[in-house]
Amino acid sequence: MRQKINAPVSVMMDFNHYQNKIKPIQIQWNNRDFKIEEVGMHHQFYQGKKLFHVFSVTSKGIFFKLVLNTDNLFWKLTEVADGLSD
Amino acid sequence: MDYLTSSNFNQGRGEKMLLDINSCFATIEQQANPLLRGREVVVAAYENGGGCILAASREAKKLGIKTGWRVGEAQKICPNIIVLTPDVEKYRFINRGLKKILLKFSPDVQAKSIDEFAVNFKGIEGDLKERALRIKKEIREKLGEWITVSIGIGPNIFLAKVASNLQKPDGLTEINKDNFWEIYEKLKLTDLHGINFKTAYKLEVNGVKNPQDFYQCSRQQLKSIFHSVCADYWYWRLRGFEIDDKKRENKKSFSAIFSLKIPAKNRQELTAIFYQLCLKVGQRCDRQKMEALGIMWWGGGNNININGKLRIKEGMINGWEMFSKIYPKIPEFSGEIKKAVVAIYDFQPKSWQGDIFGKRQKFMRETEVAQMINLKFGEGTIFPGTILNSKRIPNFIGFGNVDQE
Repeated sequence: MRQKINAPVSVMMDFNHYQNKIKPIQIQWNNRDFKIEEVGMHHQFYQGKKLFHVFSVTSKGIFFKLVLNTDNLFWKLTEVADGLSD
Repeated sequence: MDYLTSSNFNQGRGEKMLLDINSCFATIEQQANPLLRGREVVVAAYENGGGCILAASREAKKLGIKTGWRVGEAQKICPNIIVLTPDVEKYRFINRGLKKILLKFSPDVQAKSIDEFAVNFKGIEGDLKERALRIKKEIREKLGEWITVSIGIGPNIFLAKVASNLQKPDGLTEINKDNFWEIYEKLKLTDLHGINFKTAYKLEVNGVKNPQDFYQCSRQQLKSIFHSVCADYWYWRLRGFEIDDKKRENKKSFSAIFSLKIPAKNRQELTAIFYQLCLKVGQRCDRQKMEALGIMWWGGGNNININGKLRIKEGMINGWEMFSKIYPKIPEFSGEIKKAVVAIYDFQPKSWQGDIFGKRQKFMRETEVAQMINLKFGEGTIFPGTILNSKRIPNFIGFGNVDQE
């Protein structure tokens, strides 16, 4: 089951300055904490001049698509899925 | 026979490489979402049963599900199949990432499509197979461990493409002067890139049953079959000589086509579709720094056909101007339009002149400002009021030269 949403979400990030790597480590959504287990992909896209970073992550058997708007540094959760068919 | 099978073939080393991302869209989705790995996944134009499958994962392909099938057909074979719609930005990101990796190995990299690259190693010393293994390693490290590519090496792009198709997924094959004859023996005519069933039939009725027969044909024999310059192209291609890497000439026309998930039922809905298609072709024309003198449009469905053609003396420089020309010509209709096309042709270098009353200059200034606003705040921020109530066409990916996208 896959659901497209557009909800604000709290994200805890980790930046490693030795490896120049950045990754989300925990999110809070619907008053629940999810510790990120795997980052499948990190990609970017532009909407006009606005740059968005997209992190595709999994936690507790759930897939989350997290989008960071670099214009205002707000996070949005745009997709949730459980890896099963609809 | 020895003369035919060896001395005619290009004796040089293989210096062309072709990379093909295996099950491109589906693999990228599995890379992004680890929960989908090992499952049957398809990426389709639409999620409903009529949606056309654009890519099937390796697991789905094992069940016989193929690209081009309808979602409903795949669901009959695998009821639990996961159906996704394309995430264009993700695929473009991987395409750019792959190009970046390849440019480290050679400065001559050509994107053949969203999932395919040709790399020319002419003048670059070293073992190409060893380079190919390094490219695969870098793809795993930089783009993701689930993304695999099939690599073909050959003396020309055509044979590199044939080689890349021989071993899937994650293959590495070379066709050269020592093994081409055995490889031709194993292939069917339709395994050769560019030979479809119709051409294969034409060859077969002329006694050419397989690639070995095809190779043995003289130029004269091929000319009597093809009746065109294609005869020479095939003669040299099969012998490993390069004829496919010529710089792409400027396009003579641009077209954009869209199949509608929900058919357009009135003039307003169809107008919105034509507007988006005009913007697409307008952008491509703009990138070539050309203006178009001709435009044609077509919308069709069950028992309905709306089309028209216009030639404009002063040339159209952007999608807005193209849309302004065809908008008054779109009639009211009853019925369902399922497919729409806009094409522009007859290009000339961009050097537009204003009219004596300044009306055209005003229009151009307005559309330039609108384009700048759309560039800054995103496509669709400013659009004509005539399409206010209509839905936008999603961003779609063409299957062809990505340079135009």
